[in-house]
Amino acid sequence: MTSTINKNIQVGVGLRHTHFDHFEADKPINIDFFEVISENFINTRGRPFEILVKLREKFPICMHGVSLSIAGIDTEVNPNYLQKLKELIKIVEPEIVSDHLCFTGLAHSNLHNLLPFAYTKENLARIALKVQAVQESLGRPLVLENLSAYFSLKNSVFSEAEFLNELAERTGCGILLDINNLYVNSVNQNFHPNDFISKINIKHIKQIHLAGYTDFGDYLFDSHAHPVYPEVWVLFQEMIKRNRDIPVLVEWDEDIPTFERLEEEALTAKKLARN
Amino acid sequence: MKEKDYQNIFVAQTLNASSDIPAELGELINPIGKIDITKVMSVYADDYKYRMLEAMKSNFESIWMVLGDEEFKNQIFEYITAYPSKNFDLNSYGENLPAFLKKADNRELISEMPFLPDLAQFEILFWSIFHKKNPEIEDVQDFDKNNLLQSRFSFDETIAFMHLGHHVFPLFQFREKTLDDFLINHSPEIIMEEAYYILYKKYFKVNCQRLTKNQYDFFQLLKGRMTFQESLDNSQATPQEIQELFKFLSLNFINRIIL
Repeated sequence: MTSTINKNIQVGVGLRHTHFDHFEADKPINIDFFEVISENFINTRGRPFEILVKLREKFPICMHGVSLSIAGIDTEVNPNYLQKLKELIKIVEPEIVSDHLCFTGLAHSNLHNLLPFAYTKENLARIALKVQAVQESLGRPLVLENLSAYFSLKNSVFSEAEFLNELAERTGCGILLDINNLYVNSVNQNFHPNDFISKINIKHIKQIHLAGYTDFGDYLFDSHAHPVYPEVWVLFQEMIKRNRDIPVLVEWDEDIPTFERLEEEALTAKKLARN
Repeated sequence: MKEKDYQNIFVAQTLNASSDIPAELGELINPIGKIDITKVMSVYADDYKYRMLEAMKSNFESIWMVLGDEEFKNQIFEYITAYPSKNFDLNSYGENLPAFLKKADNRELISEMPFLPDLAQFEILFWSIFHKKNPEIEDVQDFDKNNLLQSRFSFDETIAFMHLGHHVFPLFQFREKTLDDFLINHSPEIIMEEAYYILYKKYFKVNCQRLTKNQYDFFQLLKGRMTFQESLDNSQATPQEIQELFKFLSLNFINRIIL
């Protein structure tokens, strides 16, 4: 999926069931690739899967998971999940397989949320082993996304950017930079987003995510319920000028607009990257 | 605090948000901006509850339609406390809802709407078939009817039979509308009838056909590996019921199930 023309970045959108009618009607599609939430397709071979297979004939697909729980305290990733993920990868042949640098709960209680953990040396060593095991099992590199977090842990000794860099260096995994998450964290946790941007090692970034947040007054919430905000576009331009070959994806998961409107948002990324 | 202890305490606190926040968690967490630790924990606890609620609205759309927003929310918040999710797949969450709806605490609700557990059971089966691979449909004209009587049958995973104490399928059909819409079109008494169904997938769609008891029993004989002739001999079905059944089979999937 790497762009051959350096000023024409690849832009994609998340595949959501709200737009299935659009795809079944064979309406025009102007974006370059789709991303699917892996868990939405792991246990289905019904209509959602048929649509994915149909789109796969024409478009590159990226798989983005929410259940790997790579930072979870279990020594290994749920083998049942990993096996099903492998089966889906074999069928879809995705460009990128990504998930989040987080834990999602415990074996007996899955919170289905992306939860922060302490950026410590012990956790770095522990998680690096798990990442290596997953990559060996999948036979391909994993790409991990930075979180939106509503607290930090006092025993952290690395910043998130430092932790991601170090993990990527040790394991060869890639980084998925969610710029909306970065902006939300910078406001909530009171740091300058450029501190993160200057620290993160661009050579490890394999994809960029963009989305809209919700302002609850006391804090910003990563809701994926709005268009990308101007402040996030500014950060995106800052980032993309450092490497225009990174594919960019717009996520919109609540109050989802028409496919045409979603496409418009993704194509804005393409326009801004050209400037 | 060790990472293991932190994750255990954090998860327990998120699942039981009404309890006091343990001091060791308070000492470890740096809340963001203008919010304190109580608010931090409520952000995560609410996010969990509402994420699960949305999943259950999707998995049990007709229960949601019947109960309405508030009662559905109350029931589901109790359900997720009783049955925390263990699976990564939210599409399969809620398998215990039929039993949960029957429980003693729900006596008043169930005396008013005794069909709710059956409706939940119906939705679980319907969506499990929906997510199965679409079956190959061959031309039924190729089917050799002469062999029918001595044939044995095999039913693939996109065909299922169901016997329920309530005729809930008409309610399910109104899942994207309202209970009032249902009551304009149907008498509520029909829900109280016992019902036998066959659910099957055809051309990406899950279909439901109501059967008579005799037709249902006939299918059970076929499923038990009796030949068509043996099933006929052991069935109570009237000639008309068999004729209807044969017409239905040949129109839909006889070539999928004959061995």
